[in-house]
Amino acid sequence: MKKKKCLPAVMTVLTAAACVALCVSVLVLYTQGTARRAAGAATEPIFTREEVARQMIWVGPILLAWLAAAVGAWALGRTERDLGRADQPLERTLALLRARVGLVPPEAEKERTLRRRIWIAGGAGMGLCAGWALLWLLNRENFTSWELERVMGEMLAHILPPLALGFTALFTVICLCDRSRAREKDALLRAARGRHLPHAAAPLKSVAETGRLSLVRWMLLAAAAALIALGVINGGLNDVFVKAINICTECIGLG
Amino acid sequence: MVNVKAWWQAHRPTTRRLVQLYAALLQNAHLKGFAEGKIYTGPTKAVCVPGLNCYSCPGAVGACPLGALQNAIAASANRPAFYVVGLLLLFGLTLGRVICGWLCPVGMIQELLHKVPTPKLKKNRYTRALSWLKYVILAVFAVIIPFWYSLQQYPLPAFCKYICPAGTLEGAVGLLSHPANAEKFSMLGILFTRKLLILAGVLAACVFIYRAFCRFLCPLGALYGLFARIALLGVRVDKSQCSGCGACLRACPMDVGRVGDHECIHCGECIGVCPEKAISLKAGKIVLKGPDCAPAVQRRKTQ
Repeated sequence: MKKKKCLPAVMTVLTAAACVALCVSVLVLYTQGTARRAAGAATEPIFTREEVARQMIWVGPILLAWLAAAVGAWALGRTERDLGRADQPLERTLALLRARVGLVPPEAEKERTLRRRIWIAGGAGMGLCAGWALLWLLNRENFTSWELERVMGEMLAHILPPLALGFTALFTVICLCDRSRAREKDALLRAARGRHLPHAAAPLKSVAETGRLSLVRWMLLAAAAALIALGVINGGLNDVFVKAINICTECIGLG
Repeated sequence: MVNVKAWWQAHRPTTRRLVQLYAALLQNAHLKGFAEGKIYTGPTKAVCVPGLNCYSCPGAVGACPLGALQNAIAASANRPAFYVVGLLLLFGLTLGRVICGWLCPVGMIQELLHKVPTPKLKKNRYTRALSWLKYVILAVFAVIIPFWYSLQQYPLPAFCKYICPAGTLEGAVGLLSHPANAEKFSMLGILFTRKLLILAGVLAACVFIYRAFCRFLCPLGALYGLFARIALLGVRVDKSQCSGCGACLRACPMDVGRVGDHECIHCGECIGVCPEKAISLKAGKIVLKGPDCAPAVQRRKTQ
């Protein structure tokens, strides 16, 4: 039992240590490199193979220890995976209870109306935030400078606040709706006392294999084939090839 | 001998893991590139692979669809991006997010990291809300910024340049670890530092959160998610058999609202847990994996 509890804790510490070690070594390399550059010539490289090798002397063993521990824990442990499985969704419980009581009590109905209003208000808030961010993003004037670092900085400064506000609004809506659902559950439980609980609620809507869907799919497949053919003709294929056979400096982070 | 058998029974890879491994090897089949520190320059590089696989990886034999899309948008002022859009449309319509669950090498790496025994973050309403972030990243970094700079004839694949951890892991680490590329160290700077920090954060997050990058950040997953309703291949629910018990949603590690929605990677974990045997992996009307051939993990649990 102790072993079971100990292993996740050890692996958590090791994972955090490996992550911190990697981040610290990169930051040390960068700060030392920029200091060297500030003191010497502007062409002085920030990262050198020798410096990286020197850092790897202490970071490497930590990363290797983490890897060995991870593989060992996997090999020696059981594979009963905890994939972060969720609890029973509250909507399901509510659907079951609604089916049980038949006639939904007014308190429960009130909560459903309240939730609808919360979503409308939250949706309006999120829409405003999205509009705020989009207004900035869709203005071409904001993306004309060649100083990319400055452009990215400005972009983040302008779109992060509305994004953060939008997600805060979303989280608030979720939190308020959860509370409302809990209240509805209580109301339904009171109304359902003594009645038989059905086996399951009505199934949710699912994707149906309809003739219309099939038609849309075939039309889009034909469009895809046509686009690929047009792309081959207009030189798009060659563009992809040229980009892919040369080392992508952006992907690696050169510069 | 009994112990070895029991160990193998408990640890043997599932069919999906084998497919993932095979797909990763197939997409990075140029093993010579790792030995020489050079990328592949053969004709197959003109074709995009379905999963997120950096074309600067020494082993990559195809182009990254997301990188190709950004570059096609960046060049769209001169030439419409027909080829890449057509390819993505084809992948989305035929495979959809099955690519994420079965073919993406980055997805496999994330799943392997999640096997490290640590406390795990359960999916909840908040993680589901956060999963919309990848659509914002798709719109901003993969479409809007490359498009605006294309009007100035400047190719700027912003997601690759500022975020992509796959590029850092496969491209940067893959290439720079070889002595033949020692001179490239002198070209590294703030971009590489930032990207390596992002990579470290993402890898650490994947240990605690199932497919953290896939769920919250990956624009390619967001793009394929748009095809969830019309993709040919995917997990489907037989409505006439479904009782709505919710066992599938509880077993699902992704932030799905229902089986087969835009967050579903069609891994098939739900097939074996459905008490009504209503779920199956289908290609159109052909059943590829039904309840009678449930995943190996489920079989082991029930034994």
